[in-house]
Amino acid sequence: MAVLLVYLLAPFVWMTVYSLYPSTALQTLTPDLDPRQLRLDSYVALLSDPTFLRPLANSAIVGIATTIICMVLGSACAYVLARFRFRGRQALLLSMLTVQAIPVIVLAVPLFILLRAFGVYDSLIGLIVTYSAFILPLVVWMLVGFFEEIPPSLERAAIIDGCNRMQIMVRIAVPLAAPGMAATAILAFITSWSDFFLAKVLTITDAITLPVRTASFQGLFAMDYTSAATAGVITAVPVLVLALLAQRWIIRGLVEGAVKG
Amino acid sequence: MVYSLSRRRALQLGATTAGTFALAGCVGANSTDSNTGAEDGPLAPGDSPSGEITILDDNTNQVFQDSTIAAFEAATGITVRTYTQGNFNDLHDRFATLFAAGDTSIDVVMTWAGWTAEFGQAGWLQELDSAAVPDDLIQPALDAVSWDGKVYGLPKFASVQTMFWNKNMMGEADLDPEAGPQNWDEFVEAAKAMTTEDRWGFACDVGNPAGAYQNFLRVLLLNGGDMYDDEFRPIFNSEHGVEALAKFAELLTVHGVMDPASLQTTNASDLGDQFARGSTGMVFNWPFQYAVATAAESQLDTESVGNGLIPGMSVRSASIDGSEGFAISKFSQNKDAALAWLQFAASAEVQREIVEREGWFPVSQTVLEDPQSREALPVLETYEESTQYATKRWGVPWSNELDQLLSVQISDVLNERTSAQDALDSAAQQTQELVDRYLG
Repeated sequence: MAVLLVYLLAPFVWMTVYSLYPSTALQTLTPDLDPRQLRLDSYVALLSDPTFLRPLANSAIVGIATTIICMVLGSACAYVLARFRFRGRQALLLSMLTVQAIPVIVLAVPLFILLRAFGVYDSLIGLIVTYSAFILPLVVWMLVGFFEEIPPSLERAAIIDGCNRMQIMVRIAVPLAAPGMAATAILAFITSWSDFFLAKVLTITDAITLPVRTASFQGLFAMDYTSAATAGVITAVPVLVLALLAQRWIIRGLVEGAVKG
Repeated sequence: MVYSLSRRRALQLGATTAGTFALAGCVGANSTDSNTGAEDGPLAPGDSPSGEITILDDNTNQVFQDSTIAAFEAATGITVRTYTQGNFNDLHDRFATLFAAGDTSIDVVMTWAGWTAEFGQAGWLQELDSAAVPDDLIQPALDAVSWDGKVYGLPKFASVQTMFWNKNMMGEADLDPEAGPQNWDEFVEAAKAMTTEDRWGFACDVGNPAGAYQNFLRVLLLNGGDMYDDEFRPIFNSEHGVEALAKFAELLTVHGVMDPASLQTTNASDLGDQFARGSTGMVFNWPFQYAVATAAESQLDTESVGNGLIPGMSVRSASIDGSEGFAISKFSQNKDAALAWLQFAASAEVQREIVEREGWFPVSQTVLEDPQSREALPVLETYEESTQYATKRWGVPWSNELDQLLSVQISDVLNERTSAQDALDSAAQQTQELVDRYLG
């Protein structure tokens, strides 16, 4: 377990170290980790660089918008799938998994053509729509499991009290499934926040996101390790904070989403 | 909830999936057909190109943005609507997507030997007529934009590795600081003499796949070997190749003169910085090494940096090429204007700026022989001398995969997990499979 923990944490620790020390101190067989060499220059430089702040803002906008869209549409869709039995229901759920199984690279060119045709290539709207299309099935799949966990008797009681379906969903189902919905929302945010490939091929200048900007620190002949590591830490921090805040929900959400649906 | 996947449902699911892929395929194909505007045959210079072009470059050069575009627009009347610099490592996938979609928004793309081969073979780059190619281009630079006997672009700068040595360390080791080693044996002896407790005689960058390939290709050529025969059968596991790799590995495993950090050094810039810190005797590096080593923050200066041909094993010298160029998208709607940009970037006027402001080698023989260029960049003398010897890159459509597979084998040899013969035999077998797959 300890070995696994070290294996998982070592890259992040090393990335953090690289962001805090001058690269010349680390590019030797025995890195010089003298605390007197610690510095925050690269953080100050990146966080005051407009060419970094814009991708940072782009990622935040895309991540938040995608999460909101997926959660609003996904929860409505998932509630219907959880509560109603209709022809094609199971096929619909299975087909949602199919979307996840298609390699993204296969869809890159058609997506590029579609976005360009609609005039939203290299735009935040284009990215938000694309990510929503990819993440929504996952959100629905997970939320179906959470809604199915809610005892139907509670909803029957609400019907007797005069609630319609929308009221039942808003006043009973959503509050009871809130932990699962929070975990799902966090996963949706992380997925869109950290995507690299689609952002790389569907943007070029205006809508570049943080992972793409981070990759640009590596050139053909050179690599700015310190900036790349700093950008990596800045990219990872929101994900880590969200994951730590909601780790219990995430684990529960993943487990339930995996076996129910 | 438990799902039972009936045959009917499986068929429904399969049909849905097939439909998705078919739709994706149809969109791509139709779009390509409707957008190409592609003309058959090589492109010759037009009478009076005009209009607008868009350029997608990597971020190696700043001179184009700083001054070349304005000069080009003034000289030709053509407008550069956008000049975008992308990260080299992202550009391949971007280009592949743009080309596969038949995108007409980009006219000019940056290229190098590997991409010229890959995208040229795919039919995505516009072949140029010989009338469009300047007469005085230096061959390795022209090779970077050529594949299978066809020219798909024009080079924008030349880059060839030469040897740099630390004259101070040479002197302290009782070696002649003015004359670098003339052959591999002298090189090994010099490296031994300069290696001390805290200094290394030699360092390189084999920490990533491309670096491993380049270091191997260099010693292969230095020993008179080559990568392929005339029919693209891999021959790098020949006696020349095995001996070359064995001698290269011995620098680390037998002689102990190669800095072990070389195994983790992933790019030429880090190697350049390491040399500039003054504790490495010799490196083989790209032209920018001179500027890095003589910069204000370097421990060296113009007086203490030596430069010369890379010493050969069975030949006097050889080197590897890293030239870049511009190519025209097959789907460009203004190829004549795009060609005008390619020719302008390769012109003497721009090439002088490339030499004087950026420290890269010129693609033009005329500029190479110009005394003014020599004064601005002293290492040009070595470059001119190196043109007498084999200088190759062997950019092929399978370059990326080759880098990967070869780097695994080279790493095993450097870590003494296998012999040079076994490693290269294995790599050659895998390479033959790649050749068969790409060339049929």
